[in-house]
Amino acid sequence: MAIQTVPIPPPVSGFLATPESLLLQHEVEQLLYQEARLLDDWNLDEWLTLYTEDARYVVPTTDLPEGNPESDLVFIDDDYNRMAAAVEQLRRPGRVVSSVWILTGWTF
Amino acid sequence: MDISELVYDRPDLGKFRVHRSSMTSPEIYELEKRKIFDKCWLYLGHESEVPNPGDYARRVVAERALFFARNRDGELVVFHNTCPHRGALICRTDHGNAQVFQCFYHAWSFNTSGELIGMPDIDGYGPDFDRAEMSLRSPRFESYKGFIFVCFDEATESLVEYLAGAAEYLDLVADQSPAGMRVIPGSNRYTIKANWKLLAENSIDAYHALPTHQTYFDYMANEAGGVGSIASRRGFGRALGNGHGVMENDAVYGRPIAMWHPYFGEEARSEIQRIKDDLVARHGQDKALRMCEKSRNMVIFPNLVINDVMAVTIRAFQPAGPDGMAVTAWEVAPADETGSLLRRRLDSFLTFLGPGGFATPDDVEALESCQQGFQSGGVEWSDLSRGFHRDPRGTDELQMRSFWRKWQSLVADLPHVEQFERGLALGEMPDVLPSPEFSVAADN
Repeated sequence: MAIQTVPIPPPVSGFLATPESLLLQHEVEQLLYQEARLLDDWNLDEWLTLYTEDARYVVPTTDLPEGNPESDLVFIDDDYNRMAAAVEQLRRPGRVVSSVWILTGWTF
Repeated sequence: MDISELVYDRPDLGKFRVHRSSMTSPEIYELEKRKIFDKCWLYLGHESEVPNPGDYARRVVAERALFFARNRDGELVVFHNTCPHRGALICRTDHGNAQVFQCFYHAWSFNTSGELIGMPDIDGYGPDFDRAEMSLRSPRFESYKGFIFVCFDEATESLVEYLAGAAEYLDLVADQSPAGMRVIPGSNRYTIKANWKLLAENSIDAYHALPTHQTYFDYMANEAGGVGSIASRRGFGRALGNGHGVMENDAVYGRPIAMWHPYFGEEARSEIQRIKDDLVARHGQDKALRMCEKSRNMVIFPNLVINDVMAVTIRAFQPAGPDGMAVTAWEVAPADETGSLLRRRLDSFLTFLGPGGFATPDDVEALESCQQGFQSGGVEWSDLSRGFHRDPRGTDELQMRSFWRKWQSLVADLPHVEQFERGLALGEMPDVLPSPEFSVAADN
């Protein structure tokens, strides 16, 4: 199962549970546990495979938890391309050292 | 180490160094609190955050809890966030609207002007009880074009005098729209395990852009149209007086105000041209083209940054010990901007300026790395002499030297001498290369 931008059904109200709702809850929980484990292990490539290419990854700010990325400032509003670029950024080792090459050819 | 010798400033020798204890010593940090943060004008917030009567927002400025509000008469008010009764915080949420500010501890109530209007069992107080004496207390505050500052010293000059040359640069943001500018709801808050002055330096340091921000340029190269080369852009750094400094450069990316770029899309071309024409009509060609086609990164001494780049950010950073700071960043936009321009602005902000974007995390890493490096010892001084020997260029360190000169004068109670270096006088436009003579201008 991959994380998609499809609406998730509303939670079952009261104490009524159906086999379908229990199964869905189990699947969602397992997916979130899996995501947390991949991030804990810094396995970013596999983490990215949890998402479909139409994914949108939004993190609202702490002072505006209901913030809308279309009109408010959020922390993160990434599409799949940007998520992939972030993975690249986070795992790139020694990027400051490597760019010394650029400095040597830097003229004004 | 004598406190007056922490900045080694020898233009005659081409040397400018800062002693690293200024960024590690708890004693110097305590000194900074008294000599800098108790004396200077400090950014509090923006008037657009409290547009309506009863609106309020809370802040911590230099370890002091404060809040500001719009009172019933529509006037701006600022209060120390403490109950005059026994001390509890009055305002305990980030923002909202209230008719009455009530302390949760003993339920003392204050109106939006801060006057005590009631408490439980008032008969417990005798005839000498003075309500006026028990009103909320206000620090000294002033607003410049919507930017609200506080100052905890009555002897400090007025805000506009303090801002000196920085006021003109605030104008270049504040005047971008006839509808006024507003702070977009939401703020990015994050901490950096580094001395606060490292962020002041970093914010007006173009020298680091290429090596540190390669990720951003790689990412943007794949976006529609990419961004231009920053290696070939024209620009300069300038001291603005009182320790404020700015870098002004050719914008190598699109700007909603108002420089079209392919990533805005063809449909936005006419709208951006209309904004530009309007700015030229209102402000004249010179000022309008500066607003549209140049980017600016400014530090207002001691702890405020205004970046007017692919988006506009206000960043205030609060010191938290010699090796830590808390940053709050806001985004500013024309009050009437909507639709695709606003969406592109929000997106550009997050791409470069956001703590989850492709530039700010690298800056944070660089600053924390410096702080860790200081602990290594072996090197006593940091060097900021770049450009001392020549006409200043965009990637030189003149603007940082200006910051440190002000810092040194304040912590050691020395008279502040503004060295503009090589004729970069206030108000002069840099399209003409500054003259090579070294000039020293007295500042107060």
